[in-house]
Amino acid sequence: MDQLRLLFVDDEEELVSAVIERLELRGIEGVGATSGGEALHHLREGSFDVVVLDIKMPGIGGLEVLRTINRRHPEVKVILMTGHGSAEDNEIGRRLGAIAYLEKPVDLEDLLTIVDQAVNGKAGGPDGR
Amino acid sequence: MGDDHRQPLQREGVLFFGDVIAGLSHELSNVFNIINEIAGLQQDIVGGAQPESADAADRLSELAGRIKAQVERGETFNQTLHTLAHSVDDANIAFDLSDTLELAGWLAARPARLARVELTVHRPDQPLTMEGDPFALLLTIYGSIGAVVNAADSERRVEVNAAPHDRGTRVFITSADPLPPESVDEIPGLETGHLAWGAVHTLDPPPPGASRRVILDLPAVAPALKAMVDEEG
Amino acid sequence: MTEIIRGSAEDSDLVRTADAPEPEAPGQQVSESAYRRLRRMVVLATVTVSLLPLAITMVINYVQFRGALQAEAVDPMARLTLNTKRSLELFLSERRSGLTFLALDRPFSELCDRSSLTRMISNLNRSLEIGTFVDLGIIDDSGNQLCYSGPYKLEGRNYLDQDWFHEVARRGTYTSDVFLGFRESPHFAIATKHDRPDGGFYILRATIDAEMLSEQILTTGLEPTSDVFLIDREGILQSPSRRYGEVLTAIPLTVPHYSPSVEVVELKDDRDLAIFMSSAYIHNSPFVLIQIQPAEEAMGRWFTLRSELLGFLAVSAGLILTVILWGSGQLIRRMREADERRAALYHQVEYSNKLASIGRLAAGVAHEINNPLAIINEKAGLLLDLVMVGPETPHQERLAATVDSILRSVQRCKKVTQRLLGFARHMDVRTETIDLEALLREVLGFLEKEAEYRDLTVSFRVQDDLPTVASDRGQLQQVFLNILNNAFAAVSEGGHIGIEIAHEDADHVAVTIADDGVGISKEHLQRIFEPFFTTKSGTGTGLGLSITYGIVKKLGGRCRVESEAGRGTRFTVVLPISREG
Repeated sequence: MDQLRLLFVDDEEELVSAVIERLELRGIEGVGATSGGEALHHLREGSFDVVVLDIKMPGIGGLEVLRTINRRHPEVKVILMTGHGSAEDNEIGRRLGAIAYLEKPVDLEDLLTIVDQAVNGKAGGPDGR
Repeated sequence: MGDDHRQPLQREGVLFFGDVIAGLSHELSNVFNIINEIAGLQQDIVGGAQPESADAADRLSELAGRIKAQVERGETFNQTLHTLAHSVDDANIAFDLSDTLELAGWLAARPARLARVELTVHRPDQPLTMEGDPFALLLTIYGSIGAVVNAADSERRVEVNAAPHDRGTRVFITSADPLPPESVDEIPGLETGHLAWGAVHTLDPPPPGASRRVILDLPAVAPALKAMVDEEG
Repeated sequence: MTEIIRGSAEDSDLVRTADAPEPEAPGQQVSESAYRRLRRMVVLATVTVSLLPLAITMVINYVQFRGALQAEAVDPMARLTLNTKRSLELFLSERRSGLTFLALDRPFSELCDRSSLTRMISNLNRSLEIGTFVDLGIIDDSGNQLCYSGPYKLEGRNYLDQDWFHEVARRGTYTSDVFLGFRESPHFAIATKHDRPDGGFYILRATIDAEMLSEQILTTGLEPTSDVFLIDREGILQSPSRRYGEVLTAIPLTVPHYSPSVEVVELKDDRDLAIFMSSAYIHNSPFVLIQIQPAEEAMGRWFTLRSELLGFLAVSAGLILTVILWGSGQLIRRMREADERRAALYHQVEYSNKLASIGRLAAGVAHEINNPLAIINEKAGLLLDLVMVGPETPHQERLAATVDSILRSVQRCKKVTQRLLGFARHMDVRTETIDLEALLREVLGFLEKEAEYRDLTVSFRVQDDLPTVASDRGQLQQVFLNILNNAFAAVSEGGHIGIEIAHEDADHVAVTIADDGVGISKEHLQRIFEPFFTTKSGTGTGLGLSITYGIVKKLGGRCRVESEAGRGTRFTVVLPISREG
């Protein structure tokens, strides 16, 4: 099987680089982006299995990227990250097809479990209530 | 603001606090998230294949350095929080406007970043002594900077500086774009009598080609408060 | 507060909406109308106290001056009338005396002789110098004209049936009123009765030219605008009047009542002019002497004085009013300013307190972060040291432990910042008047795409005349967003969601969100508001509804849910129209 390609998008540079390095140690090919625009650029240039997306970024925000992914790269699995626990309005993301919503700081192991499930195990998508 | 002297600065102060504290807590959150991740990475290395290799050692050192950098960043935010918290200690004291300006700059950094506007606050090289309520002044300066930042469109660069003027101080907020008149009404403390500085707000018509400036004319002694003091004394 | 943070898909709770005007804090401000009322009262009281005595004084002066000046105008008139009356009475009395002398001096036989009578007339006229006797006649006690000298043909006439005959017979003397006589000119007659020695009586009667009366009157000093004339008791002119015409015309004025003395009255004449009329009844005659003087003429001085008085009153009243109005305005303004300063001071103090407490909390938090941050720093430093030292097994454990403690400190910090954030968000509680339908449509806007994407229909049913609700916009948005999310989650493709807004009771409005989705089973229904309870598999926090419930409760409302598994769910939020707290 091809190596998993994961796009990690967050406006904090330091965070992105740390995560990418950690993913590499786990055999996952990680690409980082620090803005929505950069993320979309990477999506156009290459293909990814999973995109992990910070929902609040200046400029093109996470939701915007999500919508674009839905339109142009529907096969890509999306995981959303949020800075604080306001589960209610974050349900929007889930409704729009994100497979998970995680609160920062995201535990890498949790993340990878979800990724694994999404790619190999049961399909994502909106659950029942 | 106009004639509405009734709107107590209290409410704006509370809302302002809500805004900026939320912002600071987000910044701090980010810092901790990063430290978290880096530490996680360190864990990976330590628990990994060749934890004692030179490479690993180098990596760990470098990461530790980065953690320290983030800690420093966190400390700055925390310091800002601390300074902010203490800006309400006294409602009528002598203080240095430079400090207020600096604090306003720190607090406005995040909203400026989110609005993708480059904000530069120049700390004056001399003390600018004022007498009155530093918190009320902070509200006015922060509000003015915010209004200008929001109105920035073509060039997305805002600069702030201050200099002595007459018997007070002038704060200049420069941007390439004009400020819509209605946003002036939203800035707390302008033109009101009792609780704030009663600062006269001037929209400088700039010479052609030059940047627009928002000027806050601040008397050295907050007039309304002075009047109140006199009454009591 | 303006939107300081703008543009991007920022946390929805940091996006602010526009302010509604802040309701007045009770007891802090005196209303505008209270100040107006107060000023009115002050003005009223001061004006009354200052103007009343002035007015009273004015009235007294007015009355007194008027009286004095009136008297001053009127007295000369009265005196004049009196003098004229007296001279008239003298005149008549002289004429009567003439006749009486004749009667006493001449024997009856001589009186019955015509030529004698003629001679007597001539002598009378010469002796009296003025007052032309025109004729003279003797009448016996049966009314027969015994003898007559004069221009009329009166011999043989009988006067028994005449009133004057009976009057002179009874009273001894008689004066007639003026009539048109010889040559159509006015005359009047006097008659005297004389007893005969052998019983019976005779009457001497003479006609006199009435022009003499006029001359009597007019010799008295008169103003050019005055008018003096004689009338009889029926108001017929006995002498010519400047104003009212020739002898024997009626005057348009009311004849004054009898009085033995001179009377002066002020009245309006037929042309509505104010006049003074002094009248005197002439004794032993049918005549009434009338003198008329225009009031304006007489009262000229009074009118001047009166205008001066009124002018003075107007000016002083005006001055007083101006000063009072201005002064009270100033006073009230100062009061209001003082009140406002006091309120501002109060606010200042209050605001200092509130902000001070926030400041303390924030400072406390900042302090809390200091320690773990410092620990992280320490540990990172320790890590560096350990790495320097070199590879050893226990070393590795220590490395792991060090990193662990960094992670733990970070957790601590995170907790603190979470608290800080919660605290910051809590500060933005504000009340506005909210149109629920508009708010719900706004919230639906967030879910538009999904509705489109999944072919869901949303319908609105809003009752008429719904009141607006005073509540916190941000929190209501959260509440409804959560419920709608759940509804959207429950329905399948092509499903339907209905939103109803209706009156609940006099003080509450109910918003119901109904879906035709999977519904909730009975067992679960009881627990849905519990924190962390969720029927969702996956990573929902299960906090949604419990938070919703908490918010609604905090806003003074309540929630209820009806559901049937497989049929759908109705979620109702009841909100008070105004917040009590």
